[in-house]
Amino acid sequence: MNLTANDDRVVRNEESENLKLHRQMYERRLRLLRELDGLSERDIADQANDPSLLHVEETDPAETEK
Amino acid sequence: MSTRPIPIPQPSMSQLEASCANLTRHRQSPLLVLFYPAKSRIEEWDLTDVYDTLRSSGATPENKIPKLDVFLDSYGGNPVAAYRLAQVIRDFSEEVCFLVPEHAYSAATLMCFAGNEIRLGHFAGLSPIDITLVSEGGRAPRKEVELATVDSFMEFAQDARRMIEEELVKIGCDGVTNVDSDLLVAMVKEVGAMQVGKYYRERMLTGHYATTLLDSYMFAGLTDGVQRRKDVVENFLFGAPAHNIHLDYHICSEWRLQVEEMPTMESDLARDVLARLNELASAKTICQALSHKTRFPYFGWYAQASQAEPQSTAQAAPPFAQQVAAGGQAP
Repeated sequence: MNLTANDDRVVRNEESENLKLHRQMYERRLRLLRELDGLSERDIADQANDPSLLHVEETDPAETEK
Repeated sequence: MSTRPIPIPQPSMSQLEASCANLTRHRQSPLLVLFYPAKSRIEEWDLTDVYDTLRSSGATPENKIPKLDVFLDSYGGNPVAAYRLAQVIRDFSEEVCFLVPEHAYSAATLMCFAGNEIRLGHFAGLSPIDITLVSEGGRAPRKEVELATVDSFMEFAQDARRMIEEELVKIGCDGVTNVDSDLLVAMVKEVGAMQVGKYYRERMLTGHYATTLLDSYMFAGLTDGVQRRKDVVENFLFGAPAHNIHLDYHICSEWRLQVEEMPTMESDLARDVLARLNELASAKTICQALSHKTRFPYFGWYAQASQAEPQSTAQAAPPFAQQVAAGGQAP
């Protein structure tokens, strides 16, 4: 069977691949940043579940530093 | 009386996939998405992630992508990282077009210099590249410093001396003043002698990177390539009245960059992709927080969609984008 990118099955598959890769990258970045802070594995695990990190301080994009 | 909360439809990755498919179908090229929302900056950490994203396409430096579109939306970041990312992208692709739906400022502008062409959406733009980074210590992100500020202060000191001496001559006094040196001493005291020296040296860093990228890619092989590169570097380093200036298609073209304004259909499709990305970031499906001050960017690879039926985008898509998705023509 020759599937194209228009096929729903392929789109769903690409969706999960992109999001899966994104999550892996995010977790890797989070781990690297926290290791820089000298946190233990337990601390990192605790912070990974820190609900406060679901919130980013909102700012006007126009005020974002270049 | 109880009221039921009205369910708010959550944006999904499939809507983004559909928008990207419409853009790749229209452009006839695969797409690499580099999306940096507010509070997200170009960093050297991104190199591994962008490399992995490119490898997920199946391409390698030995088996390059013949023609690649890079969708870039960013307020800037580290110029060293931008240069390195640009070189990684070029390692994987023979020909590159940077698609800028709204803004690719500062370090992102520098990255665009690695393109064979930059395509700007309607009212999209770039910015000057007169930047360096300073650290405020601790875990605070490094901030960019506008090197033009140092240059401007020196010009201000010279102008102040000239104007004062002209006024002194008019009133018949000896036309000599040391106001320029006094001002420069004050600046060095304010910023610190070593820091001023550092800024002075680093003001050419982005110019050096820009020269390498423009000579290697954008202007490679052009008979007037060297002169165009000199003009572009001079203009983007020293030609703007402020770092925050928005350089639209007209200014970029006048400053001799290889830039095109997207036709309406292409601009709408690119802006539709950006709208989907912003929705997903707002819903925290992508670009989650790394700290209370910073968030993660999004990198994605989208293969070129076939010429079959276009896919419908989100309910919230702009009317024209829906028309495009349905196969309509640009007015």
